[in-house]
Amino acid sequence: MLLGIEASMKYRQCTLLLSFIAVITTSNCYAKQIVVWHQKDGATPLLEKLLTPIADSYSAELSVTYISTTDLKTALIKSVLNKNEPDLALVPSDFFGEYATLKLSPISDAMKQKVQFEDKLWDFVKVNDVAYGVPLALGNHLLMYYNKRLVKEPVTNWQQLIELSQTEDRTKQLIGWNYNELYWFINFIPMFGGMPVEGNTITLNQPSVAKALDFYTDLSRANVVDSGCSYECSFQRFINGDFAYTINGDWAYKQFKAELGDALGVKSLPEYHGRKMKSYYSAIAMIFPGNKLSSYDNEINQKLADALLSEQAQKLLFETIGLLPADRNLRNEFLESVDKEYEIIIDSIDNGLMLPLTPAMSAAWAGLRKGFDYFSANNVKSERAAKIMQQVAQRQLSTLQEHKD
Amino acid sequence: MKFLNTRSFKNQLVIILTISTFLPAVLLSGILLLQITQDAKESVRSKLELIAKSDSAVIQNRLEMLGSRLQQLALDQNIVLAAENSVFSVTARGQMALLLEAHPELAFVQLYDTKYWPVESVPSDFEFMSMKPVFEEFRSVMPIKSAPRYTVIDSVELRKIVLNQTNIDLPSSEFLTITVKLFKQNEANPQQAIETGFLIAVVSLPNLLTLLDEAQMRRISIAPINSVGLEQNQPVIVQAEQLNTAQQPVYFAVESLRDDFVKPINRAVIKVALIIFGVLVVSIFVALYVSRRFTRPMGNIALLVESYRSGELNKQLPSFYFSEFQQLSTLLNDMANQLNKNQKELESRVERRTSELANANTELKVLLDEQKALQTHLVETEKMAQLGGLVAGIAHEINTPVGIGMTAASSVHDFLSEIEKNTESNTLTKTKLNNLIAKSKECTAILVSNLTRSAELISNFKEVAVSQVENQKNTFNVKTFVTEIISSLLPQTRKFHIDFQVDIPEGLELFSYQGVFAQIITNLIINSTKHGFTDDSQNQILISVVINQDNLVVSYQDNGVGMNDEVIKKIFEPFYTTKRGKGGTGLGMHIVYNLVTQKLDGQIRVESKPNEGTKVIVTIPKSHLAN
Repeated sequence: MLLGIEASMKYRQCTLLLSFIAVITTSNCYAKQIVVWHQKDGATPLLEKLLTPIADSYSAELSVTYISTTDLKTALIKSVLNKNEPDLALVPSDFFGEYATLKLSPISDAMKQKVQFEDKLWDFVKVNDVAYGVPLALGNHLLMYYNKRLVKEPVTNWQQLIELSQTEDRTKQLIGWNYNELYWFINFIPMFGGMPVEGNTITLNQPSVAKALDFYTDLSRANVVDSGCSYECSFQRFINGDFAYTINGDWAYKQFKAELGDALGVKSLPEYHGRKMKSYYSAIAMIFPGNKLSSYDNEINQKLADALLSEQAQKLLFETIGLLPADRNLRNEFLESVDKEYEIIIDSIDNGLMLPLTPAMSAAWAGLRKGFDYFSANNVKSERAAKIMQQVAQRQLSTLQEHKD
Repeated sequence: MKFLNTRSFKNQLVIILTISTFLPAVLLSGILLLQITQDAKESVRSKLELIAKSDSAVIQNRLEMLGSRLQQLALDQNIVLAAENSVFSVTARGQMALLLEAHPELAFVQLYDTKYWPVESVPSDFEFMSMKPVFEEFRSVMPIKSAPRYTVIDSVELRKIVLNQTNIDLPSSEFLTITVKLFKQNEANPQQAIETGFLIAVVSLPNLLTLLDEAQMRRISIAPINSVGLEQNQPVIVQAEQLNTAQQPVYFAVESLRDDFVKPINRAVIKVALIIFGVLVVSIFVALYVSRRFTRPMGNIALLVESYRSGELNKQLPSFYFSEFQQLSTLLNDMANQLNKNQKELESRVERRTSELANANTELKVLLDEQKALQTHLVETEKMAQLGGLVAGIAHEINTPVGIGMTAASSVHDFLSEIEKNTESNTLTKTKLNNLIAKSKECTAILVSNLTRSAELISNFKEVAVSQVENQKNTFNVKTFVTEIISSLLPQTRKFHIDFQVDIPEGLELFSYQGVFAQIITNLIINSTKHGFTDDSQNQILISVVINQDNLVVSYQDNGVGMNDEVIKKIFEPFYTTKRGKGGTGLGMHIVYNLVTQKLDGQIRVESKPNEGTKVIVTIPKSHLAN
């Protein structure tokens, strides 16, 4: 009996020892992990495919994670704070306003030279004349999609939309979009002659912003748009044929096309009394948060960037998830073989407005969010809401400046 | 015979017996009731104590839970970072909204950065509302680490701030704040944390009570809650508990309706009252029976005495069960016999005395008649004497001028006869004629003088009869009028160098007989000159008028030679004068007396002593005042 117990104890000790050795061995096998975050829904498999060879060449484990644009910025900031930031992240270039918080290292001239870019592409990722990322694609701008089965002749201005919405036989909205998302709202500000920021100066407390707010709210009050409809709601109702029109980003084109086929129509955003509604666009850039470029694995990052910037990779990214190459030559080359609607998408970029990358713009988002919510929830005048937007944004800008310092 | 003011022995006996039976029952019941009341109170109190302990534990747990939730939130990186970066606002706001939803006792929750900027507020009504004005107070009680800190807030100040900044009128309740500081890791030094801001949850204390059953009977306050006894007309607080929040005591109490205490007591009181009522009824019947038994012999004695009182002194004695009453009735009987005897003796004595009194009365009546006749005689005699005096006075006064007049008239007659005679005899010479004419003129002058004197006397006599005086009233100013009279008398008074002093109120006006007043004042002044002043130096006359409660008092005073008592007594009598034959008629003061008493319905009196001047005081009713 005693022998039995001793044998059992020895057996257990051996087991523990073996387990410990196994853990050590496994840890050694995956000592390096390459972490990539992105905000393009459905792009994970492609990115894995494109980046796995790099990971393998360094015997590193590759981890590609999709995080929605809304959550990506906060996730990145938290990761930098917790020192578990990704090696590479694909982000809209307006994230660059937080370059200090995200600890983005400037792209060195040596790295720039290795990338086969026309020089002006770097402008899409520069803050105060310093590039903090590598441009990968352009776009992220809004377009008006319509269902050809429901619309014979698409509207070209808001007056028509409002008029159509008031017709007596209409029981549901004509158009829908992610009404409460400010990325949609800011496109209305230039239509009234304003801009959220001028350089690194916040310009929200302007009559143009107040007018844009009033107009935006009136659209909801006049039942032109359902203010309670989210991104998913508007997306689904458009493909279901509930909405004849929707406003969505270029990123949605492929999904709409897949659902509606030839019935999908694309138009630039409607005008208002002859004033064009310009789309804000930005670049999708590769960033290396947490000063990764200055660390020992600078080389890995560089190779990751190279892998995504290769012509083959760019083509795959365009064909699979609709990412428009930042390089105009590549863009033109790819467009020859695709739908005519892409011309409209590209035109919208050419006629659109580049979303500023300054810290002021980052701060402006905060102000816009607060002011818009306050305006929606409380019965205040749009001028007061614009003032609040300015105050909040100004405060956020000073905070950002402090962190930079 | 009725004895209205005496008490009935029978009734008193009933009352005493009833009380002596009833009182112990009441006392006993009272003691029992007190005990029952005490027990009932204790029972309710014990129950409420248990509720208070249980409920206060619920509240305390709730506050602690809230503190823990805030502490958890303070560890959430979204919250921590939201204080310095708006990118996290949406998530932070969502977390705060969840907290608010889970804790309806919260009025609002706010996230501040280190500069007291209100980064996030839920509900959104409180957006951008800054509680900075009260942060000075907070700074001293801010938690050092992220442990929650409970702090009382000045509710008035808070409500003011909220109203000013959001137009929200918070209910006027007390508020408790729970604060936790927010820290993020310092990247440069992981051992050190960097403060990013703080979370503050504002708890409405009354809202905490909604977690409890019968919330309306619970009270919570930052001030100690005192027990309230049954004596005061308000809900009773039977138990107060102090909640052990870390820094700030919060007091909790359970109230109970007075009915909770009073109802069991009332039930006991009703029971006891019914018992007492039963005892009372029984004791009344017993008392009635006993008192009847004891008072019946007294009634018989009363009947006996009543018989004696009505004169039936030979009534047969009843027999009594109690010896005391028997003895009393025997004594009464003896007393009645004695009374009978004395009464008879008294009656004969009264009869005798009555006869004597009747005789005396008759004699007195005769004497009284005689007295009355004598009195009437005396009055008539006095009247005749006065009339005689009056006639004698008149005769005396008239006789002299009339006699002189007669003499003068007969002399004139003689002179005329002599002229006639001389004319007939042609012996009348011019000298003689002139002589006779001169004598006749002299006699005529004497005649005229004496007839004038007679006429004056007659006029005076007429004035004595007041009915001759004017009957017309008019309004006049007294002071002005008196001054005018004094001026009009100057020819008669000048030589006496009189210093007139008039002390009459300026605006005093009378509606009266102005001529009467003139006569009175004139007579008095003339009297002073005729009788009072003996030389022409330092003569003074003071005329004053005073209005008292009922009357108008006219005071006339000179500093002349004055009078003795004998003269004063007779001064108002007609024809009484101390200067008879020297121009005095003795009618002046009599006229004044008549005018005052008859025409003015007033009174007059004189005060004087020899060499001390004379004072005449005339009192007339206020009805003579104008208006």
